[in-house]
Order: sequence, then C-alpha cells, then structure tokens
Amino acid sequence: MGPLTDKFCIAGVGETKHMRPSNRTTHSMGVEAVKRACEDAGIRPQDIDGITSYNIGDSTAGTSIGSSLGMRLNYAVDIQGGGSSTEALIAHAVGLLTGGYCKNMVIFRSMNGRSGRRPGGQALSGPTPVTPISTYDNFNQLYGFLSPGQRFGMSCMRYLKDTGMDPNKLGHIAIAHRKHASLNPKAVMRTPITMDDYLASRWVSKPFRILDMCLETDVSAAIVIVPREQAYDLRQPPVYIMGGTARTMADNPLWNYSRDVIHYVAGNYGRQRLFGMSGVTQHDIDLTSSYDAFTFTTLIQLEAYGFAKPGEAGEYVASGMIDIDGRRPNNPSGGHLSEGYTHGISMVIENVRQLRHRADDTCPGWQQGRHTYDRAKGCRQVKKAEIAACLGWGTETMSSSCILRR
Amino acid sequence: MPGPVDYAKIQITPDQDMAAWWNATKEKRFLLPQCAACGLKWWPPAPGCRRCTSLEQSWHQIKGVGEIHSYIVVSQPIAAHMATAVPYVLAIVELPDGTNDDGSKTRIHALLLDDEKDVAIGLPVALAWDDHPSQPYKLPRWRITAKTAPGMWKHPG
Ligand SMILES: [Zn+2]
Repeated sequence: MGPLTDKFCIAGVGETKHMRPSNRTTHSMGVEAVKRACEDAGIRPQDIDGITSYNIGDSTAGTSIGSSLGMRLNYAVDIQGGGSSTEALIAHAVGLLTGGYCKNMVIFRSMNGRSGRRPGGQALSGPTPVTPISTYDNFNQLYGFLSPGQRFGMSCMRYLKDTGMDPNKLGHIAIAHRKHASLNPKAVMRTPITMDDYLASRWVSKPFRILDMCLETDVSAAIVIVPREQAYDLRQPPVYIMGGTARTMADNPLWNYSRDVIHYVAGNYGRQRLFGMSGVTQHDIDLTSSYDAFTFTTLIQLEAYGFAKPGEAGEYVASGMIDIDGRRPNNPSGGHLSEGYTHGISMVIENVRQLRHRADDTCPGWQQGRHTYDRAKGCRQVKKAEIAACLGWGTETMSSSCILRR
Repeated sequence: MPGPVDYAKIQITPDQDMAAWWNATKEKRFLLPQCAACGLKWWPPAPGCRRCTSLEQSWHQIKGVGEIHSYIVVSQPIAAHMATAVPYVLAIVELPDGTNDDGSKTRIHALLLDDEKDVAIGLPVALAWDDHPSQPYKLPRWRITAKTAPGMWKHPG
C-alpha cells in the first residue's frame, strides 16, 4: 500500500445536465457544478479553500468560479489537458492536502464540448478552416489528420492486424454502454442498440463507425476531496482514494507512431504503480470505468491495466464481463459513448455513486441506498460495488488512473 | 483517387523549428531531423535528440520509399481544405532509411493518392508531391506502388 492510501476521500460529486446546446457560459455551468458537488458533500462552498480544473483553452478559471461562490482560496491552479486529467488532479489533490497547501479541494471541468470547441476543432456547422500550419505539432493539419478519432484510429487499425481481433467485437462496448445509459436518467442517448444497429452505423474514420465514437455535450462536473477525518460528519458515505497514477507517459510521447508497438499504450507503464500503491490486484476490482471516447480506448485500457491478457480484450468485452450484471461492469453510467462527454470526470463521479450504493437511477429509495437491482424497472446500481478502478486516457502515450473503495 | 485538396484554404507559416523542412520541399526534398552528435533520426522535426540529448541537429534526405504500417479512411471531413477530398486515406509509413543504428524505426504520416480499395498494411509506397499556385511550398503525397506484399492486411469492413 502507498503511504496515503485511504487517507483522503471523495466526499461530494455534482454536475449540470448534459446539454446540446447549453446556451450558457462555462463560468455559469462551472459554478452550478461546484455548488452541487458541495451540496452533495454537505460543505458550504465558502468552506472550500482549494480549487483545480483542466481545460483545453475552452473554459473558465477556477479563480472565477471560486469568486462567484464566495471562496477565499489558498490554492487555485488550472491545468491544460482533456482526458486523464481528472485522475491526475485527484493525485495532485492528495499531495497538496498532505502538504497543507489547502484543507480541502474541489476539482471541476466545464466545457461547451458541443456548441463551443468540438473535438478536432471544427465548428458546429461543419468543416472549418485550420489555423496556420506553423509548428511540428500542428503539421498534422496539412493532411486533415486532426481529430482524436483519426489519431487513435491508426493505433486501432494496427491493433486489429497484430491481434487478429474481429473488428465487430468493438460493437460489444457500444452496446453495453448504451444499455447502461438506458438506466441513467441523465444520459443523452438512452435507446438500446443491437449489433445490427452497430454494424449499420456509418463509417466516420474507418476503423471507427459513428457508434464507436463518443457524444459531444455541453456540461460541467465537479468532485470534492477532503481528508478522511473531515469526512465523518459529512452528508455522504465517504469513498476512499486507495492509489493512482497521474499522467503516466509512454516512451516517445511526442510521436506515438514511431514507437515499436503503436498500441502499447501508457496504461501498460502505469499498471504496476496503480495496483502497487493501492494494495489490491485486478481480481479485487468490482467495476471499472474507462475513458470511452471511442470503443477502442475502452478495449485497449482494459488490456493495458491487466484486466484482459494482451490481445484478448475483444473476448473480454464480448463475454458479457462489462455488462452491468457481468462479473466486472464497465461504465455503468453509459460513459462518454452514451451518457455525455466530460473529458473523463463523469466516469469517476459514476464510480463514486456506485461505491456509495447510491446510483441515481429511478429506484424510489436510491438516495438511501435502497435498490431493486431490477434492470427492467430502471435500476442502475451494480450489485457488488466495493472497489472500483478508474482508467483515464489522454492519448496512446498518456494515462492516469485511480482506485477507489467504499 | 480521392478528390482534390483545396490548398487555397490553408496558410503555411513555418516557425523556426520547421523553416528548413518546408524550404526543402520547394526542391521536392523530404527531410528527417538527424542528430549531429549520435546520428539518430526522428519525426516530426522537434528540437532535441531523445537518445543523447544533443541540440545539434542536421537533416537526412529520405529516398522517398516506405511501407504502410497502419492507415485510416476518413469519410467525414473536419478541416475545410479536406472537404473536397473525402473519402481519403491517411497512412503511417515506415521509412527503411529512417531505421536507426539501434534498430529503432522512424515512421511518418502520409496522405495517400490512392483509394481505400487499393490500400493495405504492408504495401510499399513512394513519395509524390502536390503543387498548388496558392502555396510557395510543395505538399507531400504518397502513392502505393504494388498490389500485393507478404503479410499484407486489410480491414475487412
Ligand atoms: Zn543524439
């Protein structure tokens, strides 16, 4: 176990609706999400003195959110980044709280991911002129090689060749997450899909169909972290942070495509640290969350973090394992594929609610932790939810993670 | 063959790290950065040798042949200048003369002149160039040069 295992808790979570479009500023949504997370915890926003957030130049600073909620901050830092930032900021919070830089902390993400800056940078109206091609970093724009779907598609295609996996197995991830979203009143896409629906969906960037790709939504979400001794009197059962990794990088992250194996992703480098620090193994994990920007990013993370053997993640997802009633459900909220897109924070929030046994479904007693476990009646609570692993993804070469327990 | 790329819709304004690379395209030369101290070649032209950390950089002009390591087929354009080109095939191309003395490979990204029906991992490609009156630079393209290769693989969908 790590020296800080179980010393800090996630005490509150909250979010706005997933909107398409929000017709709101990221400031307004951020204030709402932070306020809701504080209410959920039972802490006044004015009693929070640390705030962090992540953005890709598309959001509002934590200092502004804090100011709007009357916070007198001792720590306020916004970092650059999308996927994998949530788990990295959780690790960051644990270090800062240990060091005494603040006494508690809220982490938020606020984004108009549909009506504002969309993945790849295009406007809502369609193809958009690219910025001037100046740097080695934006040279990709010359070829129209811009979006995460295009970039990760290269790794997926090579994975399919190297492993011989039937590409249709990716569909099992889309189908399972959509089923979960059908049980989630917050989700944008709630109509269940079949393999026929998946195979009939159009190609966007082969090997990816539209149903391999996440939604775009306008949303804000937030998490409150406190030392465990502060958590005892709060409103919710605490969820303890056992361990994690913060932006583990693979070799040669500047250019994934010259690496020996382009689908040997960063999680492979973080796996031992994650489980070593947390003091558990894969067998102890009841549910996982993956950063499902694409079906493939779920597949490859499950493999990288050792839940499936190399080359066998296709069998893992096709076996029913990731279904809400499977042996190790993944993304019971529906994730980015079907609930909505938050650059990762909403999957951590879902794990927190699942570990509290308070999945916010349509069971009348969910707020007291009373669930029917009857999927036909809309119950979304995972039956056994004691320990969860959050598998964050930035790119093939960047990953963050954490393990949480009730 | 994919539709034309509308190069009039882009601006190329190289920064200090990219200027020499772009200038060489005017003579249809495709360069790889190469460490002047240890000889490592890499892509893209970012400063610093990851092997020996030297900042002394030279350039290696590639012969202009390679092999498709992976590819995607873009059906939905995002960039305005590619709207007329869809569906187009982007590839990762492994360069035989990008192989380093430690065995590490150099692979670049490439916009193919070929259609999806002709593409497969493992096929050989050769460098070609687009020329457009709106641009002072030549624009690299790649063309498939054989219909088969040992171990070739194609997405079944
Ligand atoms: Zn060197």
